[in-house]
Amino acid sequence: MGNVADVDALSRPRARQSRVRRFVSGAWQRYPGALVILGLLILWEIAGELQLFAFLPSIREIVDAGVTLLERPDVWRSWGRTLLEVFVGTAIAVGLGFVLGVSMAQSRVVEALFGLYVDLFQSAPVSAFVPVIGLVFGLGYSAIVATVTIFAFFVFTVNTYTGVKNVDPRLIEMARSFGAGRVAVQFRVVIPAARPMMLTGLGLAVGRGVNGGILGEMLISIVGIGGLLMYYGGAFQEDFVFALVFMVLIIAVVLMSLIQRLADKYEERMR
Amino acid sequence: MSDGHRRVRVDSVTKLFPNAQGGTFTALQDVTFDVGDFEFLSIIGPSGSGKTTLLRILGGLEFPEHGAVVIDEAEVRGPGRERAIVFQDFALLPWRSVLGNVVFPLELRRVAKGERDRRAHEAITLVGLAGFEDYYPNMLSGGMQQRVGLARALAVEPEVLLMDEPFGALDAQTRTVLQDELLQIWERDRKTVVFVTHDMAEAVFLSDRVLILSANPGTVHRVVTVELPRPRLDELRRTAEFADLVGDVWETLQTLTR
Repeated sequence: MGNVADVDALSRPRARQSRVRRFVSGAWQRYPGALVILGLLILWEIAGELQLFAFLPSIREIVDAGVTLLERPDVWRSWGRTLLEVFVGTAIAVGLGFVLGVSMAQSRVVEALFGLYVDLFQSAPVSAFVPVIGLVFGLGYSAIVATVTIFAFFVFTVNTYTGVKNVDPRLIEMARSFGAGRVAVQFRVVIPAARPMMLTGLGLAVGRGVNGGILGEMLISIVGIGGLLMYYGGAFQEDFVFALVFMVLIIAVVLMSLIQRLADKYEERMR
Repeated sequence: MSDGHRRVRVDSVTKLFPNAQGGTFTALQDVTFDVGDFEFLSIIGPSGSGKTTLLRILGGLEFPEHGAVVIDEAEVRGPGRERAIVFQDFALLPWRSVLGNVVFPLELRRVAKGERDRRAHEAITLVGLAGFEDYYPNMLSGGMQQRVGLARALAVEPEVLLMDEPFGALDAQTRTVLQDELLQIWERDRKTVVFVTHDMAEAVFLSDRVLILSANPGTVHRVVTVELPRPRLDELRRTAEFADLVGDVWETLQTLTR
């Protein structure tokens, strides 16, 4: 009994002392990236307040700018426009990429026709083509949607292609042995098996789509969030520029992680 | 449907594959045998004897260059409703639960939902997996995964069950347990079974006849009739008669691999 009491008395202050440390280490384990960001933001704030770099606003100024932006209805309308363009453009990219990816993986002819170009465009500086898209599609919604589509299309196509290519042929054979025809094999084996890769591709496509949408707005028609970025950039209002960039980052990360979570749910079972 | 009725007829089947030199390799040559109604026939042979190829031809997944397989007086031209295959590597769909995997062929055959679930549950219970319907394949051991494979094949109520080294990927103990259970299921609901294996004791324990193939090219070398009484229980494995028969098959295989 005496021993137990001793141990208890010894461990109690230690437990209290380590509560802060436990919180930090717990947060570190759960969100290691968040702590890095926190550290960077602190350094940034210090550098900003001390005005160490020209045109580097402090975090406080950026947050103030962000609040101002959120209070303006035209900024909300810009968000609506940009997100709609991203949504439509990504949807088109996914639709086209699905068809091309699935057929490239299963037809030698289609693979020979398009495989090289899909690979090339993966690493091509697509941004260089953005002004050309403006020339082709004009300055309206369709040009920005087309830009989003081009940015999102290739990564989704390649992921779909890889997913379908890697479907276990033994599963297809099993389905055939139980009487599955070509259509049933596609819809009940090939596509479900490739779904985790496609969802990963969708997450990447949304990220690229946001990127493409804003770039399109900046380079083609100065509308939406890209337009606001151009405006504030030109006016050297860097606090507003950074506030917008952070908003874009947060939205892109939330969208991508939602999709990735869906992908993980499938993948968990596939292992 | 008398006892002497021939359910499956394999008639001088020859199967060629292209080889690396641009020529052909004869996997099976002039293979002829019958499988009786409700008979349990094992096919055994050294590697390269084409036993799995033969099973795939029976399943309609592969086609012979010469000869034919006839089931119920109809030539096999592809997979058919009267057959079901149990695969060596289980071939379960990882995104479907146990129940989802077992109903899969019933969905393909457009069996109504109520009927589908009833048959699936029946088959799952038969293989001892009741209570595991909602588990996913990656949560199950190899032995349990192959029970799912067996349940899936039984759920389509085939007349001919084709089994391609179904227990080959399992450890010895699990294999023995599944052999016993397979026989119990078969005693209760007899089907014509063609069972490919490389395990001599397994072939003798399960079968009415053991077909021994020779390799390069695969031909029927010998057919051993197993006259051991049924139902066969685990104790049989420790009898002299059983050991003699396994020894007999072993010696034959020895002459083939030398």
